[in-house]
Amino acid sequence: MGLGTLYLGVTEGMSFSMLGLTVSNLQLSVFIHGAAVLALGIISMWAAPKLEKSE
Amino acid sequence: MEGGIVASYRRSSLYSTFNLRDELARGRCSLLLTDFLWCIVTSLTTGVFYTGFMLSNGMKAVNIGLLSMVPMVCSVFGLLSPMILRRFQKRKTFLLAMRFAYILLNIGGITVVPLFSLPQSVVQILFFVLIFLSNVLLFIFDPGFVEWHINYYPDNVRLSFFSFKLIASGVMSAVTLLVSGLITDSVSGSDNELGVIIVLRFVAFGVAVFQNFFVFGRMKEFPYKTPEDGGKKTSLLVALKYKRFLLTIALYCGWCFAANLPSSSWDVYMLQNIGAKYSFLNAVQALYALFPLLLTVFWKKLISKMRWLKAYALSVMIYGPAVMLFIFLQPSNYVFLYIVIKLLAFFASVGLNITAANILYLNIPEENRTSCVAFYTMAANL
Repeated sequence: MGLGTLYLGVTEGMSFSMLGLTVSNLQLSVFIHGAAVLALGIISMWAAPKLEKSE
Repeated sequence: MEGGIVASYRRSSLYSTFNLRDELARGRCSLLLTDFLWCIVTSLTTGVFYTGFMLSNGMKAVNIGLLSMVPMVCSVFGLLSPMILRRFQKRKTFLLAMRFAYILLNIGGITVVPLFSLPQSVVQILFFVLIFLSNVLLFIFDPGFVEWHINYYPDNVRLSFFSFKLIASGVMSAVTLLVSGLITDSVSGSDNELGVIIVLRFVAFGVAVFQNFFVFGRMKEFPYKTPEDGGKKTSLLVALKYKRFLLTIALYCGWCFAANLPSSSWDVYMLQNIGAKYSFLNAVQALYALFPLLLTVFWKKLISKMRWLKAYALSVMIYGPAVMLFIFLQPSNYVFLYIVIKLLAFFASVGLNITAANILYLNIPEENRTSCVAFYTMAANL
């Protein structure tokens, strides 16, 4: 939460150009969140068979 | 018809999970009841009622925000939990007493302080002190409750238990939200707004005390497994020696970290930049109540087939890209796209909620459970 607030504070009112789109700092923050969650999903899928005990 | 329903209930896995004959199943019924009662308590003491109570007592928005950070700071006191709890082989009385102290300070204390006609600055300092002390207690005793109740949901019923709990909590939240919404509408702007909020807080106090002594109090406590060294080295750091446990909860902590990154960016962007209305956002959000009802059986089957962690990974992999679509939201297309994003996220959330509820228990060791639960609580809060 602290990191999110810091990011939003630093980038307040800013916008960025990416993928041919102009996006606001808020949109970028949600995009980063989505990308982080996707990365977590891929890592979890890879780790799952190693971590879950077989019955 | 009635007989048919009872007969099919008795044949279903729900019966072996929740019934009043078997002691463990009765305990699981009690846990469901405690969830329902706590739902009432939180709906009356948090959200608009809490903010209204604080504002009426002269708190500024900044200070209310600071107050909300106090529990995060207090999570560090979870370090003391294993050291204190290991001294009790029978902990039930101690845990119930600690929980009562928490309720007394956090709900009772905060409600009565403004009634003593003290200067506002003193009242505000007392709010901070009460919230700090109550949360220190919470982080010390809470792992003890998890360790006590873990015996009520062994591996063979855990999927049914968590699945039904998710459906029940969805219904409970929807009902309490609806009722508290009606109360809010009738209270807001009236001359006696603060008086009504105080009465509601007293009701919440009564419900919480009932839940503590008459529901938790009637649940059996089982013997705790003592570590080989007799618990002499019990501390939070003991959890670090269980690598499989650590890696498993790291997957969930990764979710907690990622989930908190955008904070409230969704709604702020929708309201400020897109110009969406509160009613639209609330209406879409309200749809979530249906999803556990419709999809729990689907996710339950998928978890049985894929097992817990793969199903968790799958739900996370659906949720992430759905959220990334947010970047394409514009005022011209937001109604359709926002609904698509939220529906995909809701679909994944059902699986995510069921599987995440079990992650703590997947590789938790038999011994040193208090340390492991305390470590998990602290890591998830950071």
